[in-house]
Amino acid sequence: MIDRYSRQIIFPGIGEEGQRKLGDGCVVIIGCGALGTIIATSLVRAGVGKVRIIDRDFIEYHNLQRQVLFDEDDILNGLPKAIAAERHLKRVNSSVEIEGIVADVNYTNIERFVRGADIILDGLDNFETRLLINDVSLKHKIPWVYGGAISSFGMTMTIIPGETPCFRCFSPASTGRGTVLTCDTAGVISPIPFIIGSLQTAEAIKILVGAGELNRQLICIDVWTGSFDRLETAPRHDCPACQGTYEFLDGRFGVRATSLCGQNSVQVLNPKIERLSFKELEAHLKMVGKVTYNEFMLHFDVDGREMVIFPDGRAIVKNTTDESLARGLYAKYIGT
Amino acid sequence: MALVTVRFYALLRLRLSTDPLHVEATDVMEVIEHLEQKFGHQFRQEFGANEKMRESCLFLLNGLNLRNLKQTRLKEGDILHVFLPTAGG
Repeated sequence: MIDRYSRQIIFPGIGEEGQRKLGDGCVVIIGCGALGTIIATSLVRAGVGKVRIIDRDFIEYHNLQRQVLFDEDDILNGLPKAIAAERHLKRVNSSVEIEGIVADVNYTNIERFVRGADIILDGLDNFETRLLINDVSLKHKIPWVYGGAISSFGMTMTIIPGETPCFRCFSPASTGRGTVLTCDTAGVISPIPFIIGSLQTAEAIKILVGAGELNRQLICIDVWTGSFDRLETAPRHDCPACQGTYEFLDGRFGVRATSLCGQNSVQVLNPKIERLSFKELEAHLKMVGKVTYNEFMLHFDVDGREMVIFPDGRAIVKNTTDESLARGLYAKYIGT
Repeated sequence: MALVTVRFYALLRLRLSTDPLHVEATDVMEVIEHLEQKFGHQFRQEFGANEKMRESCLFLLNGLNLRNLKQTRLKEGDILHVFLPTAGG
């Protein structure tokens, strides 16, 4: 036990007491893509006592370029990310209690998932769930570490309820323009999620150990241009979440998916979108799939799935009744 | 008029191929008008119409999130950070 962690126990910032605190710690990782796999593998190897990993998605070949916990066998076995992560990590460190949960995190279940957590780590691919994490973090006073990575660029910041500005303080008023870029539409190279995920991991270790300097600024990194910036952010006086109004956790906002009875389709509604530009959307989507549109609707075929998207942001995902899958596709390709 | 610095991040920096930019302006809307003139079609394509831009872009003026750009007067040495939302992970 001690031998396994000897190198980080030698590190003065952790020591034997810090190692014990890590062993008593409970972290929840929401989203297990590039960021989530880096965070999960690092924290399990560091000996954090309980690691809960929640993800709604399955593994695909284009994930393997950057999602370090997965391999080709996982794809052949059709494993969900959360389960594959749990299986791999149990072989890495059997002393850690690892729980992989296949679920679509939303306002109805997030409080259950973060129960007992000392910290929440963001491995997400969409804004909506980040705003949900922000609400639950502030409500239950659980620190969380925001991380985002796309193309060659990434950002991270640690949010301590009552101490730092929250995520909503420095988020855009709306992400509903319909062209929020994701890794599936703008691409991503592996070094950036590796760096951002590693910074998030370091924050988790510092919080669990109770030592070190936390990152209370917005760190912005671009590995292609070699730029590293730290931005001081300030609390927003009219931020609803900081005032105790948790609009995302209350279910007032957010994407809704509903299976259409007898049609083998799921309708996805995004109340934040008022009007989509099909021209802009086509510019992003044509990189990854087949797109055709007229003034009334846009048809998008990708990975054997068909989506019909309407100007008000509504989408119908065909040939499925899986609402979670439909929300996932919406987040990937339209953005939330 | 104040001389302010505009910083671009993420894909915006990549697409506009410039950072930082120094602009003389009275308020943030004037900065945006300047950017529209300088980058023209490319800028409008990235941001969409002004109203939508204000909603979906992240503007930090000296670290403070801006939600009412018209009333934000600038002073010498201010730094305006401009982001497009990025959702990847």
